[in-house]
This record gives sequence, structure tokens and C-alpha cells, in this order.
Amino acid sequence: MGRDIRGSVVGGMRDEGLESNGYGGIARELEMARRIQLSFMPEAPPDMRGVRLACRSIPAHHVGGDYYDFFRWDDTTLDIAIADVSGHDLGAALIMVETRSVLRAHAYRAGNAGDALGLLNELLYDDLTRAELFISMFYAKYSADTRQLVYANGGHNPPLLLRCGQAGCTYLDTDGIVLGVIRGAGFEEKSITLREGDLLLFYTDGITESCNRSGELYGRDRLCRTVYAYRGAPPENIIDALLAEVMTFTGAAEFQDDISLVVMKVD
Amino acid sequence: MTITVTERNGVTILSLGSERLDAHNSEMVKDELKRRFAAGAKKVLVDLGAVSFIDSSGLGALVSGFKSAMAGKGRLSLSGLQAQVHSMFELTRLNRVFDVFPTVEEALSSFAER
Repeated sequence: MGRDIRGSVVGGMRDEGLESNGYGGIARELEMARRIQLSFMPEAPPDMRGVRLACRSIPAHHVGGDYYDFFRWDDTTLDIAIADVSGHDLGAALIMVETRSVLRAHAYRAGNAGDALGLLNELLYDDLTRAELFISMFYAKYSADTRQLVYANGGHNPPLLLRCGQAGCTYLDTDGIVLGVIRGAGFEEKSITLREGDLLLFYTDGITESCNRSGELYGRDRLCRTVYAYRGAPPENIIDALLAEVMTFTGAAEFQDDISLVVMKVD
Repeated sequence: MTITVTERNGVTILSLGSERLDAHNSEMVKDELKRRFAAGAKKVLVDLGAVSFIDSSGLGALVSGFKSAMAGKGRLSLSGLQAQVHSMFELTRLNRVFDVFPTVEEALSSFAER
């Protein structure tokens, strides 16, 4: 069945046609959408006693489906959310914006990390069903007083934890399905007490699924090795190093998928 | 991508003929699944034996098929998951909502039992 092959060729030609026929306005509007969407991401993480944070998001195309956010409730309590809407198109971007709005409006209602995912799953279920999309999301609550991190995972790439003085990475995972698939789904919650010198990396799959010319994926093991190699650097520099490593690995001038990263170092 | 459609023992089998199921071809799979369930199919099997890479768009197409199946009181099963595909289902916990079988034959036996 050559339908798909023909379809994609026609799609490519149509785009070129739009540009050459003066429809470059669409590209300009998408660029504007990209700027607005990027402005929805926190430009810098909040200040929180006892931790240093850095964050960055790079959409692969004009707009993307990645999202991260911070909720600083008081001097000692910080929530961190990172999510990825399925797909990479305008639809994913629209759902990302809705997810942000809904989470920002309702995060205060969620007593814990699992509740936050459960609440979002219920509030977004119908829209996600209509849009035929789903969301993976990791949600964590950190207490600077106790250094305790309580977290729940809705099918997202488990954040990587590098314990001070240890070589390998641990991955923070709990039992929970991606949002928008099962109404009423429950989300398991776990907690861990962090120690001085520990490093956490929250990320979206754009980084681990980056592909080199031989079709090999960057993967979680390389990610762990790179974070370990730069563990002594400030969070912002770790992000720079990771992005540079992935770029070298892929040998491409642009990222293939949206990439979002949040680095947290415990002081 | 080619999708080969066969009928065996009342089960519609869609065999995907691509190494990748991603943003470039997932719409085609989504549409084919919708069409089958809309036409009244109750037992559909997607054989992913040829697929060595799936991304969230590909998973999204199968989730859409799962919801179409639920709406029509049908059943959607999967077979032949290679390592990366299997790990994506485990990561997202979507292995909980689909009946997943190593081979087409095992999937067909399961349809026959129910």
C-alpha cells in the first residue's frame, strides 16, 4: 500500500509550494507560537533553600509537546513537574498549553504527588480522548526541611538520581499509566530522602531517543555516564554539557525531538 | 508503510510493514484501526513484529485504536513486540491496557478462547 509514501511526498511538496507562493506567513505565525509557548516555561527555576536548580526546553520544530513547571508553595516546599504530550505537532502543543493551565489552576488542590496526577488525568481525560493524545508526567514534591522528595510517575521517563559518592544512577519510578488512557487511574507514590551532593535529572525522551547516523539511540546509560562525568559542574553547565554531548552523538545540527531538562543539586 | 490486512478465524490482523512506527506513519495506523472498528470489527490484532522502534506518536495511534475498540465493545490485541517497543509499553504502562502476545498464533488462540 503506497498511500503513506505518496502522502508524505505530497505533504513535503505542498509545504515548499506554500513558501514559494507567499504563504510564508504560516511559518511566521508558527514562529510566533513557538515564542509564546517557550514563554510559558519558567525561564529560570525558583530559589529554594538547600538546592540549586536549572532548567531548559528546546522544541525540535516550531512548537512542541514538552512541559515542565515549578510550584514554590513556601520557603521549604517545592513541586516539580515534567511532562511530554504524545506527538510533536501543533495538537501536542495545544494540549501542553492546556495541561499547564489546568495544573497551575489545580495544583494547590492536590495534597500529594499521586493526587496531582490523578486530578490531571480526570480533568484532561475527555480532551485527550478527543485529541487522540496522551501525556506522560512525573510529579515530585520536595521539602527543603527534611530533604524528602515524594514523587509519582504517570508513564514518564524516570528521573535519574546520582547519589553523592556513588558511580551508578538510580531511577525514580512508581507505578502509574500515562494520563488520558484510563479514567480513574491510580498513581502510586514513593519517597526518598536526598543527601548533600545528590543530583537529580528530570528529562523528556527527546534526549534518550536521539539517534545517531547508525540508528543507535542515545539511551539512558549514556545519559547516566554523561551526568556522572559532569556531576561536579553547576546545574546550568550540566545542561549545556548534556546538550552538547547529544549534538555530537547525533552529528546533526538540530535536535530531532523536543528536549526538556531540569537539574537539581542538593547542597 | 504498508499495512497488510488478513482475516483469520474472525480476527482482523493488521501487519505493519515498517521498522518504525512514529509521527510519519502513525496516522495511517490510527485511521486503519478506526475504519475497522467503525465497520463493526470486534476482534483486531496489530502485529508489530516488523517494528523495531516506536515513539509516542506510534503509541498514540494504538491508544486511539484501544479507545475505538472500547467504544465499540471490541478488543484490540498486539503481537510481536521487539525490545524497544516492549520497553516503551512498560515505561508508559500501556502494557496494562493491551493484551500483548509474543506471536500472532498465540494472540489468535487467545481470541478463540474468549
